[in-house]
Order: sequence, then C-alpha cells, then structure tokens
Amino acid sequence: MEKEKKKSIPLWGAVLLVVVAAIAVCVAVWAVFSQPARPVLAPDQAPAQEPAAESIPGDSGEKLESPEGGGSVSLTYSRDVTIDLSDETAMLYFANPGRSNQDMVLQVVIRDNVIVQSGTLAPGNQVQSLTLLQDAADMLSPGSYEGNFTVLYYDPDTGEKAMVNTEIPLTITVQE
Amino acid sequence: MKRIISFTLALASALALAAPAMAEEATIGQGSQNIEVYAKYEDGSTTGTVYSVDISWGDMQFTYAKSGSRTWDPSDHTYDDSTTSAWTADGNTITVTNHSNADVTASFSFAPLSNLPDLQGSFSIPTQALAAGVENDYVGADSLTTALTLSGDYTGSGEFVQVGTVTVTIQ
Repeated sequence: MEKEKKKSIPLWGAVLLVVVAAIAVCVAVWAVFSQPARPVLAPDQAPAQEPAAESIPGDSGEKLESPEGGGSVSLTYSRDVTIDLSDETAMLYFANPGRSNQDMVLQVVIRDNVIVQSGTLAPGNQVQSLTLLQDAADMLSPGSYEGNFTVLYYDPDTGEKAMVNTEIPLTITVQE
Repeated sequence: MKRIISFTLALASALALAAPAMAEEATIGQGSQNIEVYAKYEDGSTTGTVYSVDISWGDMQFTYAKSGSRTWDPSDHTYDDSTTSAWTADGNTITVTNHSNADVTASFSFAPLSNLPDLQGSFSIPTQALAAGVENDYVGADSLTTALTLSGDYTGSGEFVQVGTVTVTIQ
C-alpha cells in the first residue's frame, strides 16, 4: 500500500496567507476609523427637554406678536464657544427668552459635523454648558475653529419642526 | 549732678509737650495753604457684546396654480396647450429685528427638498445689515421684512406639504 502523502502548505503559501490576513485587518481598521463623521439629523419632532437648561433670571415672558400660522422667536446668545476636551463639554451662552412662542433645539456645527445637540429649550430657558455628542471629541484638537449655531424651531403644542431655522457664525476655541 | 540731670529731663519734657501747641499757632499764623488734588479717568469696565435678535415668519404657504386649457388635436395627436402656471403666496414674509448692542447682518436662503430640485426660492431682500440698538430706544430697533417668492414647476400634492426650508443667517 502506498502511503498517503500528507499535503502540507508550503512556506511561501503560509507567508502569503499571513500577509493577506494582515492587509485585510488593516483595511478593516481603516474602514472603521476613517469614515467621515455621520451627520446628526435634526429631529422632525421636538426631543426631550434639555437637562442642562435653566430658567432665565428676570425673564419677563411677555410674548412676541406672531403672524397667523407662523412663528416668532427671540434669540439671545454669545458668539464665543469654548470646548473642553477633558470633560467633553462646550461652554456657551444661548437663551430662548420667554418672548418666543417656539421651542428650540441648538446645534453646534463645525464643517458640517454636528458636535453638540441640545434637547428642547422651552421659552424662558437658557444653557451655558452642553455635553459633546459621542465621538465628537475625537474629531477635535486644541485650537480655534470657525463654526456655527444651527437653531431649529418646534411648535410647542404639536412638536413639529418649523420650516424656518437660523444659523449663527461662531468662533469655537478647543482646549485640552 | 542729679539736679542737673533732673533739670535737663524736665526741660526736655516741657519742650516736647509745648511743641504741638507752638506748631499749631505757627500754622494759623501763616494763613491757609492750597494743596493741589489730582484725578484721572480710567475706564476699567467692560461692555460685552450681547446678541439679541427677534425673528418672525408667516405661515409660508404657497400654491402653484395652473389655468387655461389643453385641446386635443386628433390630426396629429398633440395637445394645443394654452395653460399658464403661477405661484401665489400666503404669509411669505420674514421679519428680523436687532436688539443687540452690535450691528448684525441678516441673510436669507431657501433650500428645496431633495426630491424637488427644480424648485427655487428668492427673497425681496436677500441680505441686509441691521444697526445696533440705541440706548433707551427699544421700539426703534432696526429691522427688515423680506418676502419669499417660489418659482419652478411643481406637481405635488393638492394639500399643503413641506417643500423646502428657509435659513435665516445672522452674522
């Protein structure tokens, strides 16, 4: 009887397999980490109230006149935003005075990447600190950026998003 | 010797006690004296920029109406089209008022939904600067009102549905 010859993988084949496997791993890692940040879609319905919102001291709450079927808002804000990477927090000032008749959602956007999105800010509320969105800190390094606030308006009764929004240019300082 | 020392000490004490009285008398004797007092102004206070803007808009309802008639021509199987189409608007104005203590510029843009690429929007005032608020003149705040006009064909729903978004940029 003939002895069956054991089929063994030649050395060069093994090396080739290892190289191919290594390349595959590298490509997979690159594909995962090099994808552009997915934009955060503005919700069509007002989200939950922003937990960091606080009442505006001394706010009169006297409502603006609003055209029938439309909306009226009042915005008070600072154009300077400071981001602290150590605690992944954005220090800012934005208020939805009681004069408004719309709820608001605030986004901080850098080069089409939403890095901060608040919950709903009802009229009479302000925020001075918001937490960065997940993975947003990984996109930033210390320095200065040009960005903008995007302010979305929602009907306080139905929660529907208005057809009008507002953009406000910002200077964003990122620090460690 | 002790007497000399005691006498010297007593004399010194007497002179020391008498000195203020003598000095006072001497001042009164010389009359009033002008002392110059100096002052300067240093403005160390800070006036931060406070941005405060009001925006109001109408119901933004537009109707694309088609009128006229299309007549079938059996001789060449075509329609003789005498229809016309036009957009009409209701509540298509946006008003921006500047209550900031700094000038701002308001700009307006319209973006149609992605499934309506032929739809276009233009504003009667596309962009305009608004002056800073004047102290104690709230009602006189600078403002502008612009009107949105739509153009382009539309064959969508017979009901009002969203066709686009207006962005008000405050710079």
